[in-house]
Amino acid sequence: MVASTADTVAPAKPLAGLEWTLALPLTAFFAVFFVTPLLLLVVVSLFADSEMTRFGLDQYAKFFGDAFNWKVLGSTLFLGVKVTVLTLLFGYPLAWLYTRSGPRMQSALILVVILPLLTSVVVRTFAWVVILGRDGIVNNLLLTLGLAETPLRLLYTENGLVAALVQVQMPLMVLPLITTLTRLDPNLLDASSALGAGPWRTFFKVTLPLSLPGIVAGCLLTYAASVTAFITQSLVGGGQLLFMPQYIYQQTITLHNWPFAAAISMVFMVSVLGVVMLLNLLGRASKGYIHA
Amino acid sequence: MAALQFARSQHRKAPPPSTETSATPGGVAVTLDGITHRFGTSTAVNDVTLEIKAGEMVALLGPSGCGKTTLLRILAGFQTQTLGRVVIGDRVVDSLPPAGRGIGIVFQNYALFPHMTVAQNVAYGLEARGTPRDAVRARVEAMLDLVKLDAMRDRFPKQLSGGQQQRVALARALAIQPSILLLDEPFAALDKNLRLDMQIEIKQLQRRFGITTIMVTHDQEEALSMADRIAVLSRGRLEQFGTPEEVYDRPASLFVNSFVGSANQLKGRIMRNAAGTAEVALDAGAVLSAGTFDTALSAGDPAVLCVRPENLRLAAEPAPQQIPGTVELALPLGPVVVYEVRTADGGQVKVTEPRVAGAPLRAAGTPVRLHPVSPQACRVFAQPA
Repeated sequence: MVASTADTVAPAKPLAGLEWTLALPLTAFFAVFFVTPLLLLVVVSLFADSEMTRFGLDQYAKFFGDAFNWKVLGSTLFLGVKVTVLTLLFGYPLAWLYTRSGPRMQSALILVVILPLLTSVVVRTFAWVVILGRDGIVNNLLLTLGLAETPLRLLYTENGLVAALVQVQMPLMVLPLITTLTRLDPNLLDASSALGAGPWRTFFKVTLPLSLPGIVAGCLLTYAASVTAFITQSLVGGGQLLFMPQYIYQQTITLHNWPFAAAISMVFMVSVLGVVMLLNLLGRASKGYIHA
Repeated sequence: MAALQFARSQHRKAPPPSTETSATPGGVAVTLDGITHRFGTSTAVNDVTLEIKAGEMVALLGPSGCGKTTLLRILAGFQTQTLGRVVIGDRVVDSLPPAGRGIGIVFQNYALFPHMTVAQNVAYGLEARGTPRDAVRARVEAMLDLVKLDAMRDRFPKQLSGGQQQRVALARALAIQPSILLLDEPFAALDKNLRLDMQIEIKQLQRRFGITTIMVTHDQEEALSMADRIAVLSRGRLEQFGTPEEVYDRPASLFVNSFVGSANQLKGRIMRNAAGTAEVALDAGAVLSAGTFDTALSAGDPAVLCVRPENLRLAAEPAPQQIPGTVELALPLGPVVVYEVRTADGGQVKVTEPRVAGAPLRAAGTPVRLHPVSPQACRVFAQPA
């Protein structure tokens, strides 16, 4: 080892100026398996007919010309909003509880929170089918307690789907929230209460604004994950509820209409990106003054 | 100008609006009565009783983990003590939340709200108390004027320097007109020059408003220079509560003697102990008299005699009851020279001596004879087990 001082020339490092080459393998991987397919998708969406013989914007015209498509897109984006809002409402108290708990309770809570991430998508989705079904846990309980006369229809309804998605996406919301809330200086809350603010005022004036970056990050992840949750949407939502991922699947696999499937994929992607960018903008505005 | 008006409005309640320098118009007495606090099985504060007078500035001094911060948090109401009472004015406040205790607090890291401007930070407490908007504006104006930050009102905390942030924290705490000001290690985060400026500034504000102030610190110089009285804490216990002179000159325990200032510890045996004065036969070979509070020490008991380096002299002429030794090291520190002297029993003693220009240092190996300036400069304590 040579200790280089100001007046001796530092020994040339083997990779000096070439550090960027370390990122090459990943870049190549992304180029081949992500960027190229994406470009292919754009190209395919520009074919005018399903046999892919000539170019044109026909597929996009077809999509935007039909109210049915707008409805599917709208209900998908709205599904994301509902899931995100509910996940936030349930997740925030959970994250708050975590920051206030002792170490043992914290490990228990974190296990509960990340459990959905540790189980296979298919398994946890079928669990929801069992829970929500005609003969499922919820209906059995309601019937036993006499709260309902006949089994309720829970499975294959949008509400059932929202419930399942909220549970499945919970870690994506709670983990960023826990991160920001644990970073919150407890002295700020003490300062607020010493200055005469009650717990609610402290929450709305200090805790909530300062946890905005976590809220935005959590919403971003939850939203993107829930609008694209193909398996959960298909299995819990059933055949009667149509959302964009299922729609794309139908067009590709069942109807072999690749150009149309590609076009609606593009529309879907751009819409979701739009929502994500909007949230991101909000996040950046709030982050500016919080983290120096 | 606004600062003056504010100061006057503070004084208005006091019967004759006297001059600004007179103390104790706004303050209130505080009593901590037998406070004990346990975290699980460990005792952070052990039966501490402090009676703090109205308008007094008290420092809670001790090493980290001595319970001083816990005591402050109990006083503020952030924590409820296991045992004992907190009395503010003539009210027992144990069941009151922090907001009901009339306290203003400045945290070590200032705890300014990072998403609010300087003016919003200062206004926070007033708004929380439902003060009318015009009054809030006027008060914020006055407070920012007081801490000389009117130009910074629309800045965010992270755009300010450390000293400015502390001023904002002070303005925010004082805006709600507290009767007690709590300072938690207020100067720890400031660099040395700024620290002295802020110490003077806070001391002046405290004098002007006569606000009872309790400051937590581990810095003995800070405590000695700022506080009217110092409470020295060690391992949750109150070791001594007294004026800086008392704590420094007549420390109540070996801990206080060595924590506040520095002290040479010379081992020996008690020969006589009566009326607060003990005679000790030192292992290093002299019999010295010294002050003590410990009446339990009797002839033959092992004891420690403490004497501060600045209270030792290097004798010019041999005389009885001097401690013989050899110079090991001489450190010229500018105004003084510190000598490290090895005594006959193998102990090390530090002596400071004013440096005379041109006078040569005593070289290592020089034999010397030491004696304390007076018996009052020495304290005797029981030898710790």
